[in-house]
Amino acid sequence: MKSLIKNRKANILTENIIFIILNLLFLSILVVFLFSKMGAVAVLEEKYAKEIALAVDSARPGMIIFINMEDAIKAAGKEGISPEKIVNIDGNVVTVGLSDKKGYSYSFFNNFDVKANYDGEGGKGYFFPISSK
Amino acid sequence: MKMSNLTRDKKGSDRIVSVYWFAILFIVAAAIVYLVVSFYGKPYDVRGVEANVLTSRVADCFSKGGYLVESSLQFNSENFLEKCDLIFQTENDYDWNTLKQYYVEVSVTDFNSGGEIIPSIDVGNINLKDSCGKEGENLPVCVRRSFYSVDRENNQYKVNIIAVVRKTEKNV
Repeated sequence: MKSLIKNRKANILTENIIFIILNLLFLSILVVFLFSKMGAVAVLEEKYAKEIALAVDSARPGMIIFINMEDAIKAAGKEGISPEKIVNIDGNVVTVGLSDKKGYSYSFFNNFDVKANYDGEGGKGYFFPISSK
Repeated sequence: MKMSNLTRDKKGSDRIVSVYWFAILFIVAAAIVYLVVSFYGKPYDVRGVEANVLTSRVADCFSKGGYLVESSLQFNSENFLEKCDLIFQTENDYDWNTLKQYYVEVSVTDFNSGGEIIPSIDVGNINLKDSCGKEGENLPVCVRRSFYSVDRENNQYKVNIIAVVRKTEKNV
């Protein structure tokens, strides 16, 4: 009788442990999925291209805008892209590329001379000096 | 005998509970996955902000410190973009350079009589103006703004601005 009860207790313990492990596994897969979606390269490219374009649209000549792009720089590093090559401004089109693919482009309507300078010292983002053409 | 029945029943009900538990977990996970995919799968819609900023830029071009910029009375549809440091060229995705993505209309009227001071200025894709006053996610975003201004001789003016931004493919 005693050994039966002991056996049953051992069974309950094993079942519970398996149950908890499966739950944790399930939840961790969900969390990994969420974070992978949030930090996806395509999402970051779009976010920063639009953010830079809107910042330039709101700016005046003589201003220098700094945009913190730590997460994008980290994501580009994982893809083997050097931080100096993330942001490219051609005329009035901003292109943010965090992988070997084309990147994401968005235009601004201010006809100013805008440059994209990587913050080499801090390594956290980009400076955008704005001047008249 | 009674004891073993009880144990079997308990085990059976435990299994049913865990099956239900996992079923619920899967339903919740599917809902979360669906929401996340639909949220991150959609582009950020910045057209409203863009149209508002464009309106402000045009307003700044006509008025400084509450006074009407005198040279703005010389603006017309041909020189407006150059004088206001604006450019309506876009990236050529979705053939956007053929079908312009912006439209701006400005009229300056006498505040008291409502008479036109300068001919109405309109630049960009005039077809976009049709969306003004209509609602719909796929329609271009239209912003209308009017403001009062005076010149150095205290003449009163009303400046009316309409700014429309399309760029639907990249924002909806």
